[in-house]
Amino acid sequence: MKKLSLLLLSISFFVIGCNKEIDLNLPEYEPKLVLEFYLENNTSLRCLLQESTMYTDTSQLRLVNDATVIVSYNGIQQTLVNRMIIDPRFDKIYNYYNPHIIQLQPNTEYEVYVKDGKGRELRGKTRLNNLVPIDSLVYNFNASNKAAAGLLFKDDSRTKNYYRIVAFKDAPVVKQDSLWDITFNDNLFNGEQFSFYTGYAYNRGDTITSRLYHLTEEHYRFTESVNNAQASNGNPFGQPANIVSNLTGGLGIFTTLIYDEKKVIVR
Amino acid sequence: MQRLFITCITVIVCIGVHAQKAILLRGKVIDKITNESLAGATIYISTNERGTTTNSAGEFELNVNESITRIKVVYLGYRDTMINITNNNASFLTIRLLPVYKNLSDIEITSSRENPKEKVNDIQMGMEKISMAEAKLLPAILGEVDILKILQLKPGVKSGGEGTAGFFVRGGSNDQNLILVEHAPVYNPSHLFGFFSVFNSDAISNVTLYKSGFPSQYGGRLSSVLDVEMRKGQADSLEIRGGIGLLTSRLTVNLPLIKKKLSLLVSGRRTYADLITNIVNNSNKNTKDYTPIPSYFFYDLNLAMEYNINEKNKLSLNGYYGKDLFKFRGENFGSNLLWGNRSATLEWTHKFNNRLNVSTAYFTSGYLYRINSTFSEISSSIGSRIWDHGLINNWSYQINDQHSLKFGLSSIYHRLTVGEFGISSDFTDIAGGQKIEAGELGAYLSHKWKINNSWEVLSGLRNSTFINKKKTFNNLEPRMAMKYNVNTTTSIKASYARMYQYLHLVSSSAASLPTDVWYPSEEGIQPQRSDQVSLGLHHAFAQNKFYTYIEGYYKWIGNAIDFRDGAQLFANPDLKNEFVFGKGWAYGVEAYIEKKKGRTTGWIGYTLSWAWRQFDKINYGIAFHPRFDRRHDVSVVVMHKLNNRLSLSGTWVYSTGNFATIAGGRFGFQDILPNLGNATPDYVRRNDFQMPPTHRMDLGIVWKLRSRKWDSDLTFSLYNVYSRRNPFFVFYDEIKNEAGQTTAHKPTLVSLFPILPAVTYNFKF
Repeated sequence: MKKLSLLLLSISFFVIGCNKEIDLNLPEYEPKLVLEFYLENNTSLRCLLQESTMYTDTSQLRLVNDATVIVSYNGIQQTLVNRMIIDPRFDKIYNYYNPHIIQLQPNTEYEVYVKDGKGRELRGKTRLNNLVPIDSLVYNFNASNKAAAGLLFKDDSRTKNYYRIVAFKDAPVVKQDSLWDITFNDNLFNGEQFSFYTGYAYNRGDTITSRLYHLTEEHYRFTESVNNAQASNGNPFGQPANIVSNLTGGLGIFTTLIYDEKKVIVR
Repeated sequence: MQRLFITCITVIVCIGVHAQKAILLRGKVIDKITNESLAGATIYISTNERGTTTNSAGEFELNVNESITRIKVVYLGYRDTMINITNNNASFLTIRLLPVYKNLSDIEITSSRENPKEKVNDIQMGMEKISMAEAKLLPAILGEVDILKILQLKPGVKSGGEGTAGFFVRGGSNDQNLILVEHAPVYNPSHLFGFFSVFNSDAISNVTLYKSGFPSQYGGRLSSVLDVEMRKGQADSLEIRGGIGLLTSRLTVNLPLIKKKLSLLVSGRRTYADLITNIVNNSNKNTKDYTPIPSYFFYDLNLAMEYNINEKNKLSLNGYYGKDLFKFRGENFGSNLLWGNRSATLEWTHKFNNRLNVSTAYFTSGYLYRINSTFSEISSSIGSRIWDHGLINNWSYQINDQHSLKFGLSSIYHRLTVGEFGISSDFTDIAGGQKIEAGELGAYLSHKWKINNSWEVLSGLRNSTFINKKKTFNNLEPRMAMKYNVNTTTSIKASYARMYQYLHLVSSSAASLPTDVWYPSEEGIQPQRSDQVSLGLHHAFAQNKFYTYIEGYYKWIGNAIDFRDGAQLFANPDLKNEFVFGKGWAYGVEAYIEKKKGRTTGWIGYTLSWAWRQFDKINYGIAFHPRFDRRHDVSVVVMHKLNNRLSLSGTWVYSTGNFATIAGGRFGFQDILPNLGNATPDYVRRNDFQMPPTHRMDLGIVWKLRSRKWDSDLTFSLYNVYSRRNPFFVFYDEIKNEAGQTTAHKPTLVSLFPILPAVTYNFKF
C-alpha cells in the first residue's frame, strides 16, 4: 500500500506541474520610495523609509538613510532624524526617529513630507479615528482543556468602519506564530455587535492580549492591497492588483493608529 | 421605443408580399438499418445546386419548382441516394439511407456533416459546428473527449490556458458566451477547476457556435452563442454504450419504452480517483505525520426522453445534474468545496401545417457552489447560487420560396444568492448573503429574404428587457446579414449584430473557476453592450471536397465591466461597489481551410487578432490587453482513415503567449505586528508582460476490435507528444540559504502537462 501511495503521489506531481527557472524580459522598473509611518498616541515619532527594488534584485531591504522626514500638524513641524530604532517586542525596525511624544487630536490633519538625496518626494495626509471600545474579552475551554479567546464589540452604524483584531500570548517578545490577526470592514454586521474568536490555542496560565484597531480607510485599503499583492504571486487564478497608497510620489502608508486593548489570564 | 419596434416588425412582415407557385417537399431522413434520424443530411436539386439540410430530428422542407422530378440526398458515411418525386410521395418523404459500412457508428463519420457548398450557400457566417462523432476521433487529454476543447481548435476561439475548457471568442471574455443546452443556460460549464467541460461525450449530439451574425432568437451575452444539442433516444431498439478511461467511466442506456413512440436515454459518467485516494488515506490514518491526499470526484447525469405523440406533435424532456466535490481533511482543518449545474427542459413542438411550426419550452437551470470549512471548533461556509425558470416560444413560418419568418418570445426569472456566508462555533453564529430577483424578457422577429439566386438578406430585431426591483432596462438589438453568391461555389457574406448582457460574472481569473459568481444589472450597473461587424469570403473547391473561408471582424464593447484593483469578491454584500466600468474593442482576421471528404480529412485554422480593454480606474486609465489576447493562433487537425478498423488523428496548435501582470519591483512590508516579512510585489501595469508562446502536438488512434456480439474500440491518445513545457503561469520563487533566509527571487515558469498517454475502451451493444 505504501508503494501505491508513493506511486500516486509521483503521478500527481508528474501531472500537476513542472517548474523551471527562466530568464524573462521583465518590464522596466524604476525604484520608488516606500514609507511606513504609523502615528500612535503617547508614542515618539518613528517610521521606516525604504526603496523598492527590481524584483530580482538580491538585496532584501534597501533602506533610504539620506532623507528629510517632516511631520506637521496644527502649525507644528517635527523633523525626524535618521536613526535606527528597534522595537524588540514586536520585532520592528525604524530608520527615522524624533523623541517627541505625540498627543493625537481629533479633527486635526496630520501631514508628512519626505525628500531624499535623489530629490524624490513623498507627501501624505491623515486624521485620527475615534476609539471603538472592546466590550469584553472572554475565554472558553474545549474538551482538551485548551482555551479560545473571544473579543466582543459593537459597531457604529452611522459610519463606515474598518477594523483589525489581533490576539496573542503576552510575552516580552511576541511571536508571529502565537498571533491571531484579522482585518475586515463592517459590511457584514453594520451597527451590530460583533464577536471574534481565536482557535483553542491557549493553556491555563497564559495571558492573552487582544487589541481592537479602528483603522482609517486608507490604512485598511493599503493593508488589503498588500495582502492581495502578496497572495497573487504564485497564484495562477489571482488578479494582481496595484498597491493602494495614500502617499503621492511613492508607496506606503501614513496613518494614525488607535486601538483598545484588553488582557485576560486563562485560569 | 416600443412603437419603433412594432413599426419595424410591421415593415419586415410586409416584405413578404407575393408568393410563387412551388411545391413544398417535406420529409425525414433516417438510417435504413437502425431507423435513427439523421441530422444534417443534405437534400438538393442536382440541376441547380439548391437545397437544404435536415434539422435535429432529421426532418427537412424544401421548396421546388413543379418541373423538378428528382432530388439527391447526401450524408457522409452513407450512400448518396437519388429520390424520384411523384404525386404519391410529394406530401411527405421518408428517405432511408444505407450506411457505407456498419460498425461502431460514432467513428464511421469522418468529418463534419455539412457539405462545403451548403456552407458557402448558408447566409449564416461566423458559425462553427462540430459533431460528437467527429470529436471522438481526435486525441484528448487523459482520453476524456471534450467538445469545448475541440472548439478551441477553430479560428476565433481561444482557450483560457493550457488544458482548460474555458473559451474566449473574438476578444470577448468567458462570461460573454451564452451556453445553452436544450434552451437552458449553463452558468459554469466546467468540471475539475476548469480542466474539463460538463458535456459528456456520450450524451451530446453536436454543438453549434455562433461567433457573429447572431440569430435574433439569441440574446443575453455579448460575444458568442454555443448551442449544445443533446443526443436523443431512439424508440426502436435497446442500446447500451459506454467507455472505461483513465479519468472517468461512462455508461449510456437507450430504452425504447413504446416502440416508435417513446424513448428514454440515460447517460452518466464519474471519475474514480477518489476511490483510490480514500483507500490510501484509510490505510495510513494511523501513520504519524501522514498528510492525507485530498479527495476529488465529479459526476454527471443526463436524461433525454422523447415522445412522438403523432406526426404533428412531439414532446421531449431533457435533464442534467452534475456535481464536483473536493475534500480535504487535516488534523485541525478540513474543507469541502462542492459545485454543480442542474437543468431540465420540457419542450413541445407542434406543426400546424407544412409552413408553420411552433415550439414551446419550459426550462429550469441553476448553478451553485459552497465551501464548508472547519478549523478547530469553528466552522464556516461561503457560497453563491443562481437559479432560473424560463419559458420560450419560437415560431417558424415559411411564407413562400423567397420569404421566411422566425419570431418568438422568451422570459426568464432569475433568482440569485450572492455572497452567502456563515460562521458557527461554540460562541457565535453569523450568517448572511444577498438575495436578488430579476426578470429577463425577449421578443424577436427575423425575416429571411432570398432576393434571387445571388442575393439573400436576413434582417432581424430583438427587444430585450431586464427588470429588477429598482430598475428596468429596455433595449433594441438589431441584427442583419447579407450574402452574395459570386457563383455556386463562392459567396461573400457580411453581418452586423448588437447584443446586450444583463448578467455579469464576478471573477478575478481568466479560468472558469467554481467560485465565480453571477451578478445582475441594476441601478448603477448598466448592461454591457456589443456591436460587431464582420465580412467574409467563403469558397468550396476541388469537387466540393474542400471548404475555405476568410472572415474579418471588428467588435465594440460598451459598458464593459471589471473590478477595481483589490476588489473584495467573497462574502461581500455590497459587491456592486467593486465594479468599474469602461470599454473594449477587438478586431481580427480568421482564415480556415477544411478537407471534408476522403480518407484524409481535417482543417487548418489561423487567427490574427487584437483585443483591448480600457477603464478609468484600472491601469491608470491606459488601455491594456486582456489575459487571453493572443496575437497569432494556429491549429492543424488531421484525421486519416487507414481502413475500416483503424483511424489516426493528430492536432498541432501554436499560439502567441498570454498576457500577464508581472511585478517589476518589490518592497518589504513591515506592518505593525510581527509578520513573516514577505516580499510585497509592486505591480505597475495590467498585463504588460507576454508569456512565451504555446505549442503542442497530440496524436490519437481509434482501433475497432473484432467482435460478433458487440461493437467496441480502443482509443489511444498521446497528449503533448514532444512534451513541450507550455507556460501556465509565472511567479517569483524565493531562493533560500541553508539557514532558511531568502537570498534571491527567481522568475519561475510553471507548466502543467508533459507528455500524457491515455487509453479508453469504448463499447456498444
